[in-house]
Amino acid sequence: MTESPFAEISGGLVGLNLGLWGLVKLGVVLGLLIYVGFAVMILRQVGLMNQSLSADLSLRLNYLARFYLTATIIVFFIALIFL
Amino acid sequence: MTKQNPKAVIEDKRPELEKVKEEKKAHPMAAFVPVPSNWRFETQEKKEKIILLLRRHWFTNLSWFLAGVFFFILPGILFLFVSFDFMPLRFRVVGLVIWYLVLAGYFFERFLNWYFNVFIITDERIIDFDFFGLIYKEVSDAKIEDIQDVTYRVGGFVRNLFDFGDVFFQTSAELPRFEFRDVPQPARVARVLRELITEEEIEKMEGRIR
Repeated sequence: MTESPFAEISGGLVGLNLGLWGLVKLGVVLGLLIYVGFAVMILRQVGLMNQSLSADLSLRLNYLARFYLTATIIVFFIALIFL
Repeated sequence: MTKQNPKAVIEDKRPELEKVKEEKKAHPMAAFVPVPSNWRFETQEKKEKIILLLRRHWFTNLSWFLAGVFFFILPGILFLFVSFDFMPLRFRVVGLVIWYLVLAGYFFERFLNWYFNVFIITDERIIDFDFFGLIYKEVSDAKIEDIQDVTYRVGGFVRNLFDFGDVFFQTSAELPRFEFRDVPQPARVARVLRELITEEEIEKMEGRIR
């Protein structure tokens, strides 16, 4: 049985028989890992902004940034486990 | 003796500073915030009081907000007209979750950018807080006494309709020109600044030093 071109390429290049959706999963997981870094940067940004300007919504924005980082990490693990 | 029209609008000729200080507390997300009580900035001196806190008019957010709304409804439209049967269900679900996660991040980042990029007028200085990108900030300030000229500009139909524009300051400080872009009620901002400049000049003449 002939393999699809993607399976042939992935099998040849990395020695793993990932298949098309395996490669897509790898891309998604790596992308989400980078995005977690972005969410950390957002949290840092909110901290820097609150340090420069203490505002009415400072505390709530801080919690929102932490919530966003947590959500991003959860989505990363969901992608890692369920895809 | 002519009777005065009781319905005639009585013009408030009090100084603009006085009117600003007496205004009731604005919404925390307003773009024109007189005497914000809960705001402090890192270089603020102990006795320094914030007179006005300004942000870009809400209308300047319309473009990214509408783009965000479009991207919010896009998956719904796509699912109606495009078949995603080639994609396993788990990929569709996770893909959708990621899509809205990134969209939420986009909204949050744009909101933060608007909320914290402020112009502050205190009784001693004008300060411009600029946050670029994620971790870059620029803070410029000039003393009221160094301001030599105040100009404001309102141009175009939308700006006239919603009363927002630019206020420019010429200073003798290191940064010769300051700009407050797209702020609400620019005429009022200019009046407040001019009154503060006059106050500073009077204080100088009287020999008072803060």
